[in-house]
Amino acid sequence: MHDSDRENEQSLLAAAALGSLDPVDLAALEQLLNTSPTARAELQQLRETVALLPYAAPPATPPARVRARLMERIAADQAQRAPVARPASSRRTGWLAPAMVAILAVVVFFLGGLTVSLQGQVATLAETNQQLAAAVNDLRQAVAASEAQQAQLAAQLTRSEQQIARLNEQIAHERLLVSFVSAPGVATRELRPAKANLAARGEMYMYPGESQAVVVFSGLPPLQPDRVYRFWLSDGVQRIAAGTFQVDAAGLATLVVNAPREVNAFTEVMVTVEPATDAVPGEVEVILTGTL
Amino acid sequence: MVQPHDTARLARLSDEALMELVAAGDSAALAQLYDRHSRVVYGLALRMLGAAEPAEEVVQETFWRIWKRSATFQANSAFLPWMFGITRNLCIDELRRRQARPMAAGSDDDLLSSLPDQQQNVEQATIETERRRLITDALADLPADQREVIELAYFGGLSQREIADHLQSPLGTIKTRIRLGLQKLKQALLHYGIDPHDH
Repeated sequence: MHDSDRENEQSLLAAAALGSLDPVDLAALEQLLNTSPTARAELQQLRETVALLPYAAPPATPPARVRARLMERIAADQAQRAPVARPASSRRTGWLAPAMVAILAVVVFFLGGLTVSLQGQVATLAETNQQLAAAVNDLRQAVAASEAQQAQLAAQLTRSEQQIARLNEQIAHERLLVSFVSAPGVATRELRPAKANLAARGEMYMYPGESQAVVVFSGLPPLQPDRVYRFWLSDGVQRIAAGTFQVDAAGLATLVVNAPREVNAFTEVMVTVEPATDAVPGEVEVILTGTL
Repeated sequence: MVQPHDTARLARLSDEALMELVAAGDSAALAQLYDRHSRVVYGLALRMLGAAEPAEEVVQETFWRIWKRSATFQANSAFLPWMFGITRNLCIDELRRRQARPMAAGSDDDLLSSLPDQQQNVEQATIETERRRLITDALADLPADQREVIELAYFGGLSQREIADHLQSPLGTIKTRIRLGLQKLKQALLHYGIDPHDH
C-alpha cells in the first residue's frame, strides 16, 4: 500500500471519529471498514480519544430542574410500562368476602327473579301484540269488502237511476200521447199499407190549426239496425221529413210529429224504409200512405 | 426484576455496568449516570451552543435518549463515546435549526463563570478537573492550525468541507491537519498518562 493511500484511509478514520466526514466520503469509509479489521480497531481507538474532548470544555452543573424533569419523564414512562395494579390484599378483604358473596347472591337472586318476571311480561305483551295485529288485519279485510260492496251498490244505484229516468221519460211520453189522443176535438187519419201483402197500418191524431200530431203504428216488421222508418208530410208541392222511428218486437211504435206549420195544411203523409243515414225519398221503399 | 440499589453501590459500578441496569429499567442507575456525567454533558452543550437554555434541553434529552435507547447499547462497547455522540448530535441539530454555528474559539469563560457550580461530589469533581487539565494540555501541545480544525470539527459541528470553506483553505490541507492533529492528540494523552480506552 502506498503512503498516500494509507494517509487517505487515516484521514477518513479521523474525520469519522470527529463526526466531520463529508457525505461524499461515506461510501469510501464503509468500504474500508468492511474490508479492514485493522481500520475498524483504529476507528474505535480514535473515537475513544475524541470522547475525551468534551472534558476540554469547562464542566458546569445543570440546574436541578433539569434532573427533576428528566426523572419525572422516566417515572411517567415506567408507570406506562408497568402492569395494571392488582386489587387490594386478600387479608383486607378476608372479612368482607362472605358479606360481598352474600350481597352478590341476593343481587343475583333478585336479578334472576326480575328477569323471569320481565320475560313473562314480554311474552304476554308479545301475545297481545299478535292478537291486535290479527284484529287489525281482520278490520282491514272488512273495510276492503265493504268498499267493494259499496262500489257495487253505487253502480247498481246508478243503473237504477238511469232506469228510473228512462221510465219517467216514458211515462211522460205516454201521458202526452194519452192526453193528446183523448183530448176533445182530436181528428184521426188512417195510414194504409202501400203493398197488399203488408198487414201494417197507422193512425194519426191531429188538431186542426196545430203543428203537432201523434201517429200510432202497428204491424210493421222490425228493421235491421242500419235502417229506419221515416215519416213524411206532403202538401202536393214538396215533401217534408217529420221524424224517424223503430218498432218494438210486436211491430208497435208511436211517433210525435212536429210539423213546420199546421198539420192540416198538408194533404198527404207516408212512411218509408230508408238507410239510417240517408233521407232521400227516391231511394226508399214506401210502406204506408194516407191522406189528410 | 431489578431491585433498587443504594447510591454507594451504584457509584462503584462502571458506566457499562450501569447501562445494563438501565436497560433492565433501573431508573436509579440512570440517575447515577446523570450525576456522574451531566456536568461534562452540560459543559459540552454550553461550549457548542453558547447558551444555557438550549444546553439544558440538550442535557435532559441526552439522558432521556440514554434511557429510551439503552436496549440498543452494546455491552462490549464504550459508554462515553456513545453518550457524547448523542449530546453532540443534539447540539448539531440545534445549531442547524438556528442556521448559525458559533465558532469553537474558547470565549465562553464569561458565560461559564456566571453559572453557579453546585458540584458536591468532591471525588468526581477531582477526576473531572484532572481530566480536563490533561486534555487541555494535550490540545495545547498541538500546533495551532491542527487544534483549530479539531475544535471546529468537534465543537463547531462542521464537516471537513465546511471547515475548508470557513478557513478558505484547500480541502486536502484540512484533511491532513485533522489526521495529524488527532494522531498527535492520542499520543499526547498517552504521554500524559491517559489511555482513552481506560477512562
